[in-house]
Amino acid sequence: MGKTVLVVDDSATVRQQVGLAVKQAGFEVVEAGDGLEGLDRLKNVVNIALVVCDINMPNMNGLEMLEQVQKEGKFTSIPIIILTTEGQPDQVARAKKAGAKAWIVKPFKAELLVAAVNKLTHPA
Amino acid sequence: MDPGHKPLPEGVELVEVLGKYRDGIASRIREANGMTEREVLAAGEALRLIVDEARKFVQGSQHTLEDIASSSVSGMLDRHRTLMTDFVEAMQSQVEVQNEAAQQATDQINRIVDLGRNIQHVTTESRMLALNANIQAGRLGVAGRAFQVIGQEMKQFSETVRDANKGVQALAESLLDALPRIQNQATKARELSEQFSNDINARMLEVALANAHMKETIAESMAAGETRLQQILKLSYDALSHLQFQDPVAQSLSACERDIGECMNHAARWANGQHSEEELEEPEPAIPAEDSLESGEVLMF
Repeated sequence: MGKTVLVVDDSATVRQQVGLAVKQAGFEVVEAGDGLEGLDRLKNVVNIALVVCDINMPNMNGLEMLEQVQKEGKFTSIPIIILTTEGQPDQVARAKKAGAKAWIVKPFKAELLVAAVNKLTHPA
Repeated sequence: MDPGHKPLPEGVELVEVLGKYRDGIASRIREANGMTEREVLAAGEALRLIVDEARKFVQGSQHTLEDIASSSVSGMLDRHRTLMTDFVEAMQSQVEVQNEAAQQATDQINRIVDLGRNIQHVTTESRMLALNANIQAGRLGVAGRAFQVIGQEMKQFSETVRDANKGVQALAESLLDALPRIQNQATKARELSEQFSNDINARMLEVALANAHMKETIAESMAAGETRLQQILKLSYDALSHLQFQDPVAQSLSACERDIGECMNHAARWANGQHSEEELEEPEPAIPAEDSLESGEVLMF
């Protein structure tokens, strides 16, 4: 079984589009509709190599999820890419402080997303 | 008041009318969002199937071509070449053995011829001895009769030996004549087998060259298939980029729904005389910060 990417986004179409892009690059994909589900997947799905996470989601947003991951300290080795329509510097700084490894603004280019995923999952 | 304007029927509140419109608009927005989501998901699934089919086709073709390329043609040629080389070497070895045996036979026959000459010399001397014995027997008369018998026996013996020796000599000469012909035939057989081997090797070389050319063609086809697959993947990535319109559109429509709801709240407060002065001011449009990231931008930390 290959490496798995967790896609956390409240939009089913975005989850599908991110999933298609990374599956074509050879990854397995699991999905979550918000931050709470994302945390649950992290705890219950083995072999997650990377997380692609939206910011604006119901129940628990992406930044809150990121900060919760950092607080629990158990999955901090898993790189997290923020994929959002937002691009405000204060939010970017908050995500970076909470351990995010990349920030991509929607709509994304699939090649660039896959390149970032490959770079973070196959560090030189 | 506008002369064409008709007041609301008695008992009907403006807020109530606007509320019905708001509900209708909200319903249509949700319907539109649901429809675009369903269609985009279906398009995405179709895209996945197209890419999967293309990948299966290319990979299937590549496996077939790999099977052909790795078929046993090369191995077969090598085995045939080995068989042919072994055969020619065995043939040459056999001819060498035959030539050696023929040479040994020639040497031995020559020795037999030499021995025959010695025997001939001995028989000649025996005949001379028999003749002398007869002469001496004639001189001795009755006392020499024993010599006469011995002389006659010796003469007969030497003639028998001479005749046998002639037969052996004739046989040896015949063998000496035949052995070079046997050697020549063996040498010709070796030359023919070498020629045959060279011809077969030349044919096999042609087949090997054709096989190498076929392998090159297969490698080119496989590379072309991989290129096509990469093109399909790139096009699918482009299609994915286009399909991303749905999420921002859905978010904008949801924002419209929220704005209409907010508008309704304002209208209700105005109708009830509960509005504030700030609410009468035109809201300032939200302007993104100058250093905000652009759409599609990737920032690696």
